[in-house]
Amino acid sequence: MKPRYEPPKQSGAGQFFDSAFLLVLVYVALFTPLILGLTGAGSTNVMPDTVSWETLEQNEVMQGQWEKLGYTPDTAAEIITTKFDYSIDPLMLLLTAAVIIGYFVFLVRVSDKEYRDVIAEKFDH
Amino acid sequence: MVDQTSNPAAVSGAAAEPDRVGLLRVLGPVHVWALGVGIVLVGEFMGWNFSVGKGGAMGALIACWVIGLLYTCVAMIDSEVTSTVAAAGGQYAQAKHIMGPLMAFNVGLYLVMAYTMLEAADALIVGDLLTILAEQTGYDALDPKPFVILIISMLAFLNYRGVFMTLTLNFIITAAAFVTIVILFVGVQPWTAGAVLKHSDLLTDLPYGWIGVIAAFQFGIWYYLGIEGTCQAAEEVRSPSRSLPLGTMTGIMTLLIAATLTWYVCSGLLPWEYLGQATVPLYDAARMTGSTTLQVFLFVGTLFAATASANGCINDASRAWFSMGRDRYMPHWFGAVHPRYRTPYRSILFLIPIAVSFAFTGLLDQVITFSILSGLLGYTFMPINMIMFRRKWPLGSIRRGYVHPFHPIPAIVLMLLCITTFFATYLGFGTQLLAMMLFYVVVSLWFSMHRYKYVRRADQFTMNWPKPQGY
Amino acid sequence: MWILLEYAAWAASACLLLWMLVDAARVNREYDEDTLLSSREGIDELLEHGDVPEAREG
Repeated sequence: MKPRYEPPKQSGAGQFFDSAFLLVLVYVALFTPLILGLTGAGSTNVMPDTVSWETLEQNEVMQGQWEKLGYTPDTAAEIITTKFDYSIDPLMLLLTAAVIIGYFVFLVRVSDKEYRDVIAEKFDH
Repeated sequence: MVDQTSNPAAVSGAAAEPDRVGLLRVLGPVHVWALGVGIVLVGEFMGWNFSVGKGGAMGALIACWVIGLLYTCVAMIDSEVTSTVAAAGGQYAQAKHIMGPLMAFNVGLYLVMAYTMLEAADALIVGDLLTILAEQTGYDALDPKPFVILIISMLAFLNYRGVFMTLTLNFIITAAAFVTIVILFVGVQPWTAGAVLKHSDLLTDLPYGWIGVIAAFQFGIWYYLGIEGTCQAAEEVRSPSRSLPLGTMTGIMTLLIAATLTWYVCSGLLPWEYLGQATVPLYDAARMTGSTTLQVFLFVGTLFAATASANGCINDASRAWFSMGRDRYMPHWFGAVHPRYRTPYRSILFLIPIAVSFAFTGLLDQVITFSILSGLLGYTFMPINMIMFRRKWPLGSIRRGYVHPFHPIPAIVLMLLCITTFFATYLGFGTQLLAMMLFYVVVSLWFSMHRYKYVRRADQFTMNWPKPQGY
Repeated sequence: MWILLEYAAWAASACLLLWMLVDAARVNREYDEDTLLSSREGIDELLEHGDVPEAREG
């Protein structure tokens, strides 16, 4: 039987450093996509040659509601014609899937190993 | 107000071991409901409508119901596990008992990240609303920063002073915000089609086809994100095995109703292209009715909903952070309980500047994406957890407060829906998804190689259960 | 009027934050660290309320 594991006591400075380290990681994760300029979904915009409610394909009721909101065909055109781009890059999709699946497999495996220690100490001592 | 220092549970706890300070058991099912619905309801006032932009109005309705199914599975699974593993930290404590320390560390972080970032978004919304109000009264240079800080520090103060008051307030403002949605619904006279609501002219075909519907799943989550937070109160509820399932299930029903009403009113008043990018869609809908009374109601409703959400988030994030500190997954210093107010006061304090800094980065969509994704990772954990729970402790081997029906169908459905939602996120925010996954991979390595050495092994299992099968 | 409100908000937040910091510091001084960190996961209290079954084996 393994002896009971006695963890070291962490110093105040060590505790402080660990909290700060985690925070820095969070900010890196938040800012990296921004700095690399890779945020948000891709979108396309096809503006008709002459902008009017008709060319923007808005029926009468829609026109009425837009106007009630304070829009004219010119100010609404941008909102109406911008469309998301849902094209899929198979390589990126595979990579993302591999990272997510790999992450969960890693989690379950390592957790189980640690869990066996916990159960052994809890029930066999 | 209840005197928080003279609670019978505290006295009996103190009798067992004279100088132990723990959290107080003072909450009932209404508080659980208020905690769950309070965090989420703000999602009906803003955020959900981005799913309209992703897939059109009909696409958003499909997403609303499919994601509603996802959350019904979440609520069923959660009710069973939490009514049995009743400890602060909710899913974190579940992961610790069922799957192991590294999983628990990750789940704890999902919770802290999801809630702290949602809290930042809520505070920003309050700031935005006040800016709108100031503009309408003729002052267009309002600096929202002091109000963002004020709302966070006021709510943190409440949380610091005791959980009972905090969640009683949450019940009042959440109920009021819900009532404003119902009032708006009645106000637009849904019984006479075409009078105010113009669905037949405003609804269009799916603008992107079915891929748009799937893409809409990502923001469909907004209708419900955070309902699982009810489990965080487990250590402060008077009888967890009864109150937690009751509060959670009534909560999800409230949200399904609110989500459907919200969709119905908004899609009957606003062209989908506008709705898909609006900041405050329900308030806009009220403006379209032309009634000043409705407008005032919805302004107050939005304000209350954002406040209730931030309040619940502070409560939940600090419980999760506290539990991780108590187990030394995070520095032990955070595991302290205030001897008089019986709250995890150091965690509450520590998270204030973090929430404020998230709010001030100005990266609202990044912050929200990180929040949604952390939530989604948490939902992906649940089916794995549930299947292991039933395998390690089959029915009958321990007493469960609640047993959910049709196992393992909810777990499988939940898993499939999570995979679909990951795909939806990939469509909209592929890079952020990858950046965030790398973050969790790095912290997992950090935990197993560094933090785990401070953890006492046997203390990670506190339930009075027999040894799990297969160990 | 709004400018006054802005200042009031700054001041009120400062007061609240300061109060919490002072209180936290006072608690740290008055109680010793072991008491503050003495919380355990809720199992023992639950047992007294009869909410959780007795342990079956060690």
